[in-house]
Amino acid sequence: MAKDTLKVWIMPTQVGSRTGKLFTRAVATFRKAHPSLSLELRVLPWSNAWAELMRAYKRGDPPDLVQIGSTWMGTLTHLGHLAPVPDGMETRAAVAPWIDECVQVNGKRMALPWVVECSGLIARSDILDGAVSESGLATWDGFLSFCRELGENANKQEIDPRRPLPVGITCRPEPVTLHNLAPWLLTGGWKLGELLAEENPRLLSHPSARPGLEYLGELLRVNRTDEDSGAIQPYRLAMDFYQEGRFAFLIGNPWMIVRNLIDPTASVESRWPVTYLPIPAGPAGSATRGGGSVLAVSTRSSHQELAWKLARHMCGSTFMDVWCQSSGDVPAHLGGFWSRHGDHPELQKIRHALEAARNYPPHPMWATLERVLARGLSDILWSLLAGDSLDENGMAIAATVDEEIQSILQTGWDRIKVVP
Amino acid sequence: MSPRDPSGTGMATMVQVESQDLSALGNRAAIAMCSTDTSYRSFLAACKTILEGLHDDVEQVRIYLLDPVDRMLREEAVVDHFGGQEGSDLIPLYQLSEEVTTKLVGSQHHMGDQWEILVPLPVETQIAGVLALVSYQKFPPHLEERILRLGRSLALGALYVRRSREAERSMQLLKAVTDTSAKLQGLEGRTILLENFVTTAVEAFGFDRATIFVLDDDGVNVKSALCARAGFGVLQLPEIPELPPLADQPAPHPHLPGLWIPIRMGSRRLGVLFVDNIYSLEAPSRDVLQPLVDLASQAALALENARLIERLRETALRDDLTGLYRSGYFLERVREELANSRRRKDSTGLVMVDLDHFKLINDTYGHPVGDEVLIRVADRIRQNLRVGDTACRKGGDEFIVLVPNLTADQGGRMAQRLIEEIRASPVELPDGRQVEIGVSVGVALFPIHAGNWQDLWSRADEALYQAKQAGRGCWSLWSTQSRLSLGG
Repeated sequence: MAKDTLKVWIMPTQVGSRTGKLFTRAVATFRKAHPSLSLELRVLPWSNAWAELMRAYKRGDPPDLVQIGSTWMGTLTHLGHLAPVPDGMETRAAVAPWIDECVQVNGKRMALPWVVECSGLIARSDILDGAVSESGLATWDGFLSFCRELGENANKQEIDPRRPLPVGITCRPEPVTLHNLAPWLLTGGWKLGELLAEENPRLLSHPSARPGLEYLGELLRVNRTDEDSGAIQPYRLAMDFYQEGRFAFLIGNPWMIVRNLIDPTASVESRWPVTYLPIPAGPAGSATRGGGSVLAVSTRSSHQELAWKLARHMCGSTFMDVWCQSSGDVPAHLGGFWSRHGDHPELQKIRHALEAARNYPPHPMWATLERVLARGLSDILWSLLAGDSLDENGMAIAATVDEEIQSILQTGWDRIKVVP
Repeated sequence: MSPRDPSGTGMATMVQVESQDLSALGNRAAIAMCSTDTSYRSFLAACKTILEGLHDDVEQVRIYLLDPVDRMLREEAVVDHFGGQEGSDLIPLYQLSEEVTTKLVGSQHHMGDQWEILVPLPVETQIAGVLALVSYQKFPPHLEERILRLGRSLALGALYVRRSREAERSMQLLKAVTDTSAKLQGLEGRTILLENFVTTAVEAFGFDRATIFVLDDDGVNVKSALCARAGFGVLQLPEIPELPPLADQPAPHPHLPGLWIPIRMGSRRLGVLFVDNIYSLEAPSRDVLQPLVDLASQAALALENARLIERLRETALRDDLTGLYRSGYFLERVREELANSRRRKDSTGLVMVDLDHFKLINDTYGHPVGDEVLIRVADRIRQNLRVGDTACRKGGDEFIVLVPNLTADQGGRMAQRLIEEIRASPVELPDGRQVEIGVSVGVALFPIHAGNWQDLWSRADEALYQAKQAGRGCWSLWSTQSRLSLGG
C-alpha cells in the first residue's frame, strides 16, 4: 500500500531522548486507523526550533504538522506559512479564553491550541513550612523580605539543601528568560500591549517597565546571583533546584509538579516537596504570562487534511494521557486530563494562574521582537548582576534595545499582505 | 536505576571504554565521516561507528560542529540504540565550560538519570566541535584521557567535513552569481529584471528578504522599491520607507543581520540592495559578501542596459521634432485604452487638432518658423494633458490626444482651451514680428460615437473636417443627431 508520509516536528520541553518512543506510543491508535500513514518525526530543542523552521520554510521543505510556540503565530501567519484550520474542526473548550485568542489571526483560526503553561514560582515546601505562609509570599515586599532572610542564612560556599540560596533565576539572552521574567515586569505595571501598538514604541525604557526592572535587580542582589548561576541552562537550573536543593524557589514552568502528580514513579523527580505559587503581586497587582504550544499545518503541505486529523488526535485524551505523563505538559483543553487530575490542589492553583494569565500581544513581528527583548532584558540583568544600578547602566541599555526595536519595526516594510 | 548500573552507585565499570583502542575507534569514525557526502549523514555514520564500538557503555552519541561565524555549535547527528537522525540542537559557544573550549578536556554532568560527557574535537588550540556521549554510568575520571583520544581522532574527520562544506558553499555561491548574471543579461525590461534579482538574492543566498531600492537619476531619491520574501512572490512597496544615508560601500544594518549593497555604474548610484534575516535573525555567513557585491555589479550592468534600451525604445516611439508620440505607439495606446474604457464602463475621447493655414506659414516664413510653430502647439497640448492622457503627432500639422474618462462637456471645454491657449501663444520672429497660430479641433467619444477605434478615429476626423468647414479656429463634437455640434 502506498504510504502517505507526514513530517511532524515537535519541541518537547522535558522529554529528551525518550520523545520518539513516547510519541510512537501516543499515536499508535491513530496509525492503526490510518494504515497507509508513515510518520517522520523530528524532535527539536526550543533553542534552535525557530531557526530550523525558518530554514525549512525558506528551502520550501517545511514539516506538514508542527508544534509552534503560541507567540510565533502572528509572524508565521504574516509570512503565509500556516494553513487555516478547516471549518468544522471542533475541539473542547480551552482552559482559558486567551488560549483560543492566541490562534486567531485576522479573524481566522490558524492553529489548534495544544499545551499551555504559565510561569510562576515553584517553592520547596520544606523551606516554607513554619517559616512563612503562602499569603506572606503573595506580595513583592513579602517575597523579597523572605528571600532576604534566606539569603542571609544561605550557605555561600557549597550547595546545601538545608541552607539554600533564595531563587533560581537564569539571565541568559534567550526567550525563556523573557517568558519567565515578563510577569514580574507586568506586575510592576509594564504596559507592553499598549506600548507595542505605538508606531515607535519604547518598551524597556518606558517608565512603566522600571518598577519591575528595579525589583528584579533587588532580587538578584538579595539572591547574590553570580555570573555562573545567571548563565545556567534552564534545565540544569531546574535540576539544581529539584535534585540538588540549591534554591528555595525556582522561577519557571511547573512541569515537574505536573509530571510527578500524574506519574509518581517517573525516573526524574523532585527530591523535595514542591508547590506552585503565583507570581507575587506588585504595584500593578497580580499577573502572569500565559503561553504554550499550538499545532499548525504548513500551507505547503500536500497532506493538509491528514495533518489536521493527526493534530486533532494529538489534542485528544488518547494522546494526551500518554504525553503529559512524561512531559509534564498541561493540555490546553478541558476534559480528559483536567477531569481526572483537575481537583488536585496544585493543579487548581495552576489552573487559576492560567485563567488569570495574559498572553503577549499579537504582532506580526513578535517572533523577532521577543528575541531582541530577551537579549535586552538579559543585558540589563547582567549589568545589575555586575553591581551597576539601573540608572548607571540599565536604563541606557534599555534605551539602546528600544532603538533597536524601533529600527527593526521601521525595516519591516513587507508587513502588508503579499499575494503568493 | 538503570539495568546497566545494578549497584546503583553510578560508577559501574565501562568495559568497552576501558578495553578498546579509542584512537582507532575515533579514526574509524573519522573515516566513516569522510566516506559519505558532507551532509549530516557523514556525522550519522560517525556516531553509529562510535555507538557500535561502545555499545554496552553508552546510550547516545551526538556530534556538534562549531560554526565559526555565529560561534554556535550545531548538533549534526544523534544516534541512540533506537536509531539515528539529523541533529537539531544548538549550543552557543559561550555556554560551554572553559574545560571544553580552552583547556580542551572533557566536561561531565548529570542529566536526570543519565550522565553526559562533552568531549572537545580539538584543532590546535581551539575546538572544531564537540562529541557528546550519554551513559547511565558516570564516566570514571581515569578513563578521561582515553575518551579525549577518541575526540582528537574524530576532530580530523570533523575538520575535513567543515572544509569540504566551505568549498561546496563557495562553489554554490559562485554558481549562483554566474547563473544570475547570465539570467539578468538575457532579460529585457526593468521590472522583470529587478524581480529576478531580488528573488535570486533570497533563493540562492538564503536570506529571509531581499529589497532593491531603485534610485532616481539624481542617485539620491528612491524611485521604486521591490521586496522578495522567502517562498513568496515579489512585492512592490507602495510606500518608500525612510532609508539611512546610503554609503558607497557595502554596510551592515546596525540592528539586524542585514547588509546594504550599493548598485553602482562607475560613479553613478543606480540603486541599493538590502538583504536581511529580519525573521530568522541568523547572521549571514562571511563568505556571502563578495558574491553579493559581484551580483550587484551584474545587476548594475543589467539595469544600465535596461535603462539604455528603455531610452532607445522611448526615442523610437517619439517624434523627433515635438517629442510627442508617433502614431504607431499611439494606436497601441488607443486600443488598450478603449478596452479599459469598456471595462470601466466610461467614455474615452479622441481630440484631433489641426493647424489652420500651416502651409501659408511655411511658405511665408520658411520651414524653421513652421517647425517652431509645431513645437509651440505640441507644448500647449502637453501642458493640457492629465495623467493618463496620451498625445501624438500624427504627421505634418495634425495632432491627436487620447483622453480617458472624458465626457462630451469636458471634451468641448478641453478643445476650447486648446484653441485659446494656442492662439495666445504666437511665435516671435527675430525681427519682432509675431506669427499667429490657429487650430481647429474635432472631438469624438467612445463608445458614444463609435464602438471601435477605427470608427472613433474616423468620427474625430469628420468632426475636425466639420470645424474646418465651419470657418476654422473652432471645435466640433461628432454627433449622431445633427452629425456635428460646433463650438468656438
